[in-house]
Amino acid sequence: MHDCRQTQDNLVDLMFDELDFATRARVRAEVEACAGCSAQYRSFTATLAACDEASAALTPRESYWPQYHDALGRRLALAADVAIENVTTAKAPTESVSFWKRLLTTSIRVPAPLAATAMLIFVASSILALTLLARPAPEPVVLAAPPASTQELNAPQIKLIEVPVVQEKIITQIVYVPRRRSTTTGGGGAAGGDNPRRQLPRENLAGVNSSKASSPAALPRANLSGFKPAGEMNLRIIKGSSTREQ
Amino acid sequence: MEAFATLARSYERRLLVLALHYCRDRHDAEDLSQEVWLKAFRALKSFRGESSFYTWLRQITINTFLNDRRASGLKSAQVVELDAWETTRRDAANSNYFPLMRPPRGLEETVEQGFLVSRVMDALGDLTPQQRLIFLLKHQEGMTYEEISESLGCSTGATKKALFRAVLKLRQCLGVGMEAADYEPHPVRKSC
Repeated sequence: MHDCRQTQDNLVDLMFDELDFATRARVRAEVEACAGCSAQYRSFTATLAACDEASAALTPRESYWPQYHDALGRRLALAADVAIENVTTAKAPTESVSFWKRLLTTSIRVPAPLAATAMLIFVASSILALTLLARPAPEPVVLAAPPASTQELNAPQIKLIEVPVVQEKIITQIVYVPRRRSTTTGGGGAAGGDNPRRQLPRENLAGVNSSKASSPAALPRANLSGFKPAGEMNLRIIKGSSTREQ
Repeated sequence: MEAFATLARSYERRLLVLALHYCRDRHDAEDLSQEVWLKAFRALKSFRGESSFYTWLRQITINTFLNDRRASGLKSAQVVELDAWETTRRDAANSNYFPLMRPPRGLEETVEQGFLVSRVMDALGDLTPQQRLIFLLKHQEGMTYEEISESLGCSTGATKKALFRAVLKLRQCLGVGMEAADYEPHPVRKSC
């Protein structure tokens, strides 16, 4: 199927012999078969022929070249003189100067992607460094020594340790303490009313045991009924005491 | 230096014609071609013989042309060039002063030749410097798309497209063979 547009896109390539063998043969056949494409091709070749003819007419005649050679020779001689001057002046400076000059003006060929990557890394690290510098530093916490005694105060060495606190955290915790159950008096009083004699030593004992913990008002009154004083009296003299006591 | 001057004579005509098509002004072309020779003379030590001398010289030529284009980028170079070309064309038509043109055989041929040269130069002036350079490298120098794209630092597709547009524009400006081409599939914009 012949497509004029596609064929005419290939006409310039055909004219400049830029098609491969198979494509060239196909396009040639299509150009010969289609009147429009053939006319296009002829107009293109005629255009190039006109350019060739003008180019041939512009080719300089022989009488032109001597003056061209003179002008070119003068410019070349001038350039050669300048080059010789440059070589002479370049050898004059001392070796140290030339070394530093060479060191400062030396360039290295680096592939463009590598250079771009290095540049990106440099820019990113610079931005990161600037960001870190701009951030305010955390306030150092000074741990002071506890109030010391006189001797410690007189001691010359007070060590202060600065610990940077990165982040402060306050932890709140609720501690539940079991409430103390209050002592009930109803049950104990009913039991004691039945037999006070039996109750006495228990209450005395309880009073002695709990004398430190309970209040004096809570202690029962001592009952002296049935108290029998001792018939004998033993006196123990403790030796070694003072003369008056003996 | 004498040896270099002898070497220069082998390629000077080719180089001058290329510069003349590119600059479209005789004085500019002379100046540009001599600048190419000077650069080649200064850079002769860097020639390692990996390519032919002319390939090396052609790359210097292309770089010089591109730098020259950049240097005179925003000034109204085209107007100046066209004015200069009009002057040289008038000189050529009036007398045999214009030294680049071959001596014509008769008055009729002189007029015809001058007219054709002026039309081609005007048509080349309508191209962008990039299109003109690509067309000249392809048509005059016979370089391949790959060589041109490598020399100019652009893709092969861009080179092909620029050449296609250049040929279309030249054909339109010259009006050559248009009577045979009734079919116009790709109209060319006037501005490009």
